Amino acid sequence: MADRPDVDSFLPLPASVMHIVVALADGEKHGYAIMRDVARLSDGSVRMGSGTLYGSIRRMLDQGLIEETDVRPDPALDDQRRKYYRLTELGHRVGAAEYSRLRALVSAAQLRKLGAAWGGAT
Amino acid sequence: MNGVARSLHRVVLRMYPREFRDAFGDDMVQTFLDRRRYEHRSSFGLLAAELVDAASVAPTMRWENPMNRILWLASGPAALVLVLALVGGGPIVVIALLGVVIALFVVARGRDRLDVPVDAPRRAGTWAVGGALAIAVGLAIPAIDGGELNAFWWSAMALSLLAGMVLLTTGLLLVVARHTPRSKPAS
Repeated sequence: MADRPDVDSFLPLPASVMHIVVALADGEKHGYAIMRDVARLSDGSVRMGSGTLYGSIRRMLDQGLIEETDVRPDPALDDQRRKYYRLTELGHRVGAAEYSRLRALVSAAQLRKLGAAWGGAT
Repeated sequence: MNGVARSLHRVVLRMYPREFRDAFGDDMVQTFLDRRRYEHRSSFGLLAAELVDAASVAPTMRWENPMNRILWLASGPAALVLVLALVGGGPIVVIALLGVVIALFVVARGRDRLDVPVDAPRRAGTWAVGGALAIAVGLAIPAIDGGELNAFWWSAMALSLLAGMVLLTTGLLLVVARHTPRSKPAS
């Protein structure tokens, strides 16, 4: 247990990293699939360039949050040369911790009716 | 058009450090082609977006290389010293300083593009000795020619000093560079 990284030391996650964590939460994906998923999940408000995407991927690989995988969701439909990435066990735990942190923040904002005065949802 | 777009994209990718390109360059090209294919976007629109993204991300990545940090931090003072040397020290001082600046860039670019050779210390020693000899020859030329330098001898002296300073500084820097930690390439 002593050599397990402290999850809290990764928080708060940079927004681009959290977007990638969410995109990979339902399974392995290649770079373009992550990019497309991030745009879809954010209703198009977040569009990563390839430098931002692969810069974040490099950092996440170094930190052990994700790993490359040989698993192909559907080999017949995909190019074998693509690299696929998936969350590691540490990545799942860090993502869950960031989710809890953000949820607590959103709950606090709702309690204080942040946004109500500006016509936002409460 | 596909070939032209690919070539231009390769040029944009060169803004990133070599280690990063080696690890992710092919994937970035594939992603670029995917976006063209599936998002029906024009090549030049995508290239412009990639250029903006690279301009915001690549400098941070290059900053991670300690040698680049030294170069960028030193470039301002170096330019000031060169101007002061030109005004107050005369052409020989400027040539010597120019040699040092060229050597700094040679080493920094070499570390970025190639790996420092395994036998760098031995090679560095040879370069440093060769540089010292070239400087000695350059400084001896006025004595050989009796102090009155025509254009040929002046050019020979300038060339010897410049080459000597480049070799000497490069040799010394290679030893330092070999022991400077490199940013870790992504696995």
